[in-house]
Amino acid sequence: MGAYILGRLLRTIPLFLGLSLIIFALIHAAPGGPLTVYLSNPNVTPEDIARLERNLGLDRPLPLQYVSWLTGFMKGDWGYSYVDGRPVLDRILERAPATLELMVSAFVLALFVALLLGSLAALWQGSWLDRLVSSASIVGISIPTFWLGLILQLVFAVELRWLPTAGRMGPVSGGDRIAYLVLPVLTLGLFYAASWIRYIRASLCETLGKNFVRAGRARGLPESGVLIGHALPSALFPLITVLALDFALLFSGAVVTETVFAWPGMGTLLVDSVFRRDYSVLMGILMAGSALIVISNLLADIAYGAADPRVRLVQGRTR
Amino acid sequence: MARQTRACVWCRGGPDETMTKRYGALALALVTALALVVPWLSPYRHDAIDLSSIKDPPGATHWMGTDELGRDVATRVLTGTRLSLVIGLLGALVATSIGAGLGALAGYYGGLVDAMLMRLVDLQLSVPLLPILIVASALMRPSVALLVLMVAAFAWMEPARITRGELLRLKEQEFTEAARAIGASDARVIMKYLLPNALGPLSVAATILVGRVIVLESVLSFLGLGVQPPEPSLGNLLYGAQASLATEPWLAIFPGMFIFWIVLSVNLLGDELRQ
Repeated sequence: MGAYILGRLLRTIPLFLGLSLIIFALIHAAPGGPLTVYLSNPNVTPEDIARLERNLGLDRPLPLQYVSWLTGFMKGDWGYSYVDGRPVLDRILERAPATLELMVSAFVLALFVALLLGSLAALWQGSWLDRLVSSASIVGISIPTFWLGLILQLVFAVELRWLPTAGRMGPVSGGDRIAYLVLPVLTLGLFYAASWIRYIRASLCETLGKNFVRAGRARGLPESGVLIGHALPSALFPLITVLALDFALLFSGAVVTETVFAWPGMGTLLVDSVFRRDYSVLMGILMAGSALIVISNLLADIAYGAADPRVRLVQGRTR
Repeated sequence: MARQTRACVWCRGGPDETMTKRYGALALALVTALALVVPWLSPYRHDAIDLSSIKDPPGATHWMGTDELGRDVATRVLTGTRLSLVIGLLGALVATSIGAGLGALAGYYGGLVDAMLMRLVDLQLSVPLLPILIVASALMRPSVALLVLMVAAFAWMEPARITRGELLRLKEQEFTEAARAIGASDARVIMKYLLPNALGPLSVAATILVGRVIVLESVLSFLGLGVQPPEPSLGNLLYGAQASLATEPWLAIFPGMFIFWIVLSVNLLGDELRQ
């Protein structure tokens, strides 16, 4: 197991380097370069820009810049925002809790709904409930997230006035805080709930036909015992990987959701920084997003390997 | 108990047996026909400004209302649908072609080529897709063609994996050996014998991609970064619609409804093809 984890860990290093290279290349391929924001400012002379370039090291060869940026990044020095001069890491860290709150709430809610509806649909295959759940799930994966957000706002905030339109409450107030969270979480969670329902239903359907399930029934176990004790663990086991990959993908969804609901997280910071050409913040957010994906994948692999010894052997050999 | 055992036979069809009676193909054909015909038949032009009927709610003269310049929303939405469909189809086509090409190389040659291409797939799959596309399109201010290429550059991985898997399986079969025995070159074996046999699973992936590309384009345009006005796309029609949600909700409802319609039809079609 130790060797397996070490192998997985080592494989993330080239992955992370590759991602950092893509991000660095993307930002530096931009016409005008990182200092574009100052070019249109009448108070900044060309000499100022040349001095800034020297100070920030932007006049050095690109490979050198890349290496010093990456080493700085690893040490926690993510540079300074071009917009307000504060450290990039501080700006991202102050936004991260809001994004994580949104992602985790949506993840938990979606998982709960998917487990419940997916299992029910699989248990009563062919029933009206199954048809309803299956139809609803394909509708759910087809609704564009940002439009769903707009429609929920229209119905529940503008027309019915049950919930606030947008924004987020500080950590103090309990009930109000949840009121602000409801619509963004529904918006972000629906797609994943729907896609996991399809997954759980298919996987559980297959498992329910297997011999060990029939053996459980033959031993006289009650149906709930068969389901909870035997079928579900086996059916949900492959879901680990899907969940881990999707948790990282939630970040993309969160960017859209935050924009629609003016949720003060990393997504709105990203979009603001895009329009203000704040390159150092953009690089920081992209790197943080990549790191999130790499780490979730790593954890999924480790969990998968821990749960099933065959994975450790087979993947160690072939990949 | 009896129901349980019988039900497993039902299960075979997969999760969406209930909704797969060619509704997907039908719905897609319908929306395509509307997008082709309506802008042409409509008494309004999509960019004709009419200051006497600004922000009219949906009614007999303007079925989906008018916008802040008095332009007919129905005509604009269906003109935008046309563009979104083109972007979706082209994006899926480009992504599937790249994926099929790279996947075929990896699957057929195996070894180092395979290892390197699959690492590239891993790398691309680890990219935070939407944030990268947001930054890239803000920096490059892409034309529609460049936008399609950009999205395709981050969407080819699934077709590549599928092609690779299919080719790994197919290249061991006898017809491949027979083709090689009669002296067919590697390129000919791949193009003539192997890829056509991988088209089935590949077409499912390509169909799903059409929907994903359309959604990505519309998100970017919604943020003001994708297709630029005055050219209407389903996404950029929604740009600014949020500000007038309380007063002119139809501006937000209709464009999104058409995105939803297209994506639902391609997802249904994908499920139908899968069976």
